[in-house]
Amino acid sequence: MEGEHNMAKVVMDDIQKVYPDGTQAIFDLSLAIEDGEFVILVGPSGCGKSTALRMVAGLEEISGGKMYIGDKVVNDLSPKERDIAMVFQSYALYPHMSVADNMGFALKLAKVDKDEIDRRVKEASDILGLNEYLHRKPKALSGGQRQRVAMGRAIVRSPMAFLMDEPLSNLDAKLRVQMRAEIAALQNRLGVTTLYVTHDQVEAMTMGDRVAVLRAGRLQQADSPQTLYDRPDNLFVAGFIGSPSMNIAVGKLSKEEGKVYVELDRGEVKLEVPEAALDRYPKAAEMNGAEVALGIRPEHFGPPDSVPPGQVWRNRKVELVEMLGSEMLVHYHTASPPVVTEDMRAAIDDDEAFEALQEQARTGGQTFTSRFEPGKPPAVDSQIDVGVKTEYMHFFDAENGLALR
Amino acid sequence: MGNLVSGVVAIALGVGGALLLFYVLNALAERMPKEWEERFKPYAFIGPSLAVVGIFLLYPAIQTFWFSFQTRIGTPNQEFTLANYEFLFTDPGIRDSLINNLLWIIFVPAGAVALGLLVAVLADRLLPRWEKITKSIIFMPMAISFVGASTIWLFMYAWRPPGSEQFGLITAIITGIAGPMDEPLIQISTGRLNSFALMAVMVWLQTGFAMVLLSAAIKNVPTDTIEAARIDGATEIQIFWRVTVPQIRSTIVVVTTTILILVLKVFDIPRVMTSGNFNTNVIANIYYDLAFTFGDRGRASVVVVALIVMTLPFMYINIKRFREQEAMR
Repeated sequence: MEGEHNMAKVVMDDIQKVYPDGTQAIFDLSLAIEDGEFVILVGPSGCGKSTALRMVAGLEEISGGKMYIGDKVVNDLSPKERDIAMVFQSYALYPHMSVADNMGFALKLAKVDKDEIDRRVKEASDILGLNEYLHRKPKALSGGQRQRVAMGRAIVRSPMAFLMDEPLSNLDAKLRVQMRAEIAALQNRLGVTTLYVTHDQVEAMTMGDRVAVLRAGRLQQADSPQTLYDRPDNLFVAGFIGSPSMNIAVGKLSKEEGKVYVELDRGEVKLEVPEAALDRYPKAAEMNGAEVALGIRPEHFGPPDSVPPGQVWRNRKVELVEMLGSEMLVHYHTASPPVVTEDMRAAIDDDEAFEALQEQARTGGQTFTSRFEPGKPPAVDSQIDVGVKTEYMHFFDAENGLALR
Repeated sequence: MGNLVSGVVAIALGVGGALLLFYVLNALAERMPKEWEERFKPYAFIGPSLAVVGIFLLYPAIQTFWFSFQTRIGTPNQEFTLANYEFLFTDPGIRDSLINNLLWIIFVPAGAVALGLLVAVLADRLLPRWEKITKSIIFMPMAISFVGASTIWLFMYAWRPPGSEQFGLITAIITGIAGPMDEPLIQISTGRLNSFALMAVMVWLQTGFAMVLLSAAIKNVPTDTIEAARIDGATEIQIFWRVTVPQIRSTIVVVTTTILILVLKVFDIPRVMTSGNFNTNVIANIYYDLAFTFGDRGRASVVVVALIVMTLPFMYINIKRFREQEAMR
């Protein structure tokens, strides 16, 4: 398998998907997956990520644009002719075939020599640790083993590309973490171009070389996980990536004596925006008097003595403390109204949570979450002072959600 | 009116009587000491059914078996004999009927299942509304009795001498294509072909049954496995034979054996359409003639025994399948 390597780029060029009833699921999707690259397609439920994957596989018709696998346009090719392998969320193992037959089925259909099939199945089962299960039926396997068989079925074919549709979502949490690492290591070892769909942003962040964020059928940003995290292109990406998610509030920018300030809590708190933040969001310096969406990640808070006195937010009322062993999450009340836009609704991906946010917007405040070193937890309802690492602040246009760069 | 009243009374008495019986038995059980109550109660409920099965099914079966070794039954000269079995294995009429039954066994279940599967697969590809309509039409014959269906098909095969207008649909089609027929289709004295004309009726009746069960089974096959096969490079025909059919195998077996058992008992269709003439006789019809036309209970019994013996292997397969399915739940 290693060694028989095909040069396989998967390129989506201005791909559209329109259903017969006229609804459009994918808009102008352009994304290139380089040879050997591991790209994660992530987004909230219903964003079209599975549809996009199925279009690459040939299970879904392409309404517009061009799809390339290798150097070939594959728009009108059947799945069979595209030379791809797919891992399904349900694993889709053939229940009437043994593990070995499941893995060898594609080769058998391709009329590969029986010894050769055995050799390749053996090779794959060595890699995946499936040797003792080769004669079992899928029914007699655990969830994790079935998942491995599904992987095995993909790798025995040494295809141009792997397509994976939420392959870990049927596993329990612990196994999911383990398989996450295994799949990433396996992909790295085999070097096969891979497109991986998930709704779990932790999977997205930990597994891929690059993450493409999809929302309502439109590509939002495709970058390395760290870039996505540090430099989100818009409010949706900022809110969607990261757990717990970024605190986002309405803030007012002002400029005095060449320095830029952001007002929070309806003017009660005024923080200076340092050069480091302005370097990343240069447009923020030009928006004197404008209300913008200010984002601060939970870990960019600290004890009041860790920052200069001008960056301390005083007397916040504690609502909830979560002790997680390695860290401590403190939820406290602020008087800064949340940003209530469709971007945020999509990023939260939970109608109830969004309604709670709308409710907070009506009362004029919202709950912020900060991540602290574990220590003595503050009492609920007590007041604490929070230091803000202002150099890590993010700024977005409150209207269209775009980063102020 | 009188019939209606007595019918209602009979139903009320039947249902009420059964209720009363169970009520009394249950009350009895509850009066017993606790230990005895628990032992007795299951039998209180299963007992009446066992009694009914025993009296009306098991006892006659044993008696029939016994009668198959007797001659001059019901006379003072009744005695043990093996002549009935000699008759069973030597009579040319029985041999022909056995061959006909064998043909029915081979072709009817296979035909009904194949057609049912074909319709189920094709209907699955229609729009939901058309699928429903198509399936309803094909299922409809299931509601018709064998006698009714036989009568309908007699009209389909109806024949008029050459020169007059043919109103039998099938006869009309054949004469239209191949020219005039000298005699009716089911009277053509050419070997065993006539049996097939009769089998068509059964296939027509049972295709709907096969289709409904197979269609449900096909819809239960996970779409993912079909798509996985498509990605694995299977053609639609390969998908059907290697992915779909193996996954609905147990349903195919159950449907086949169910129709098969029905076919073994076939009686009404030959009785109505040919009375067993024109080389279409079957075992059940021979039994009927022996028992009720000729009053030869010994020979009639031996024919029934043969029929039961033929049914046993298929019953065994069906029960085994059923148990396996139950065990999988």
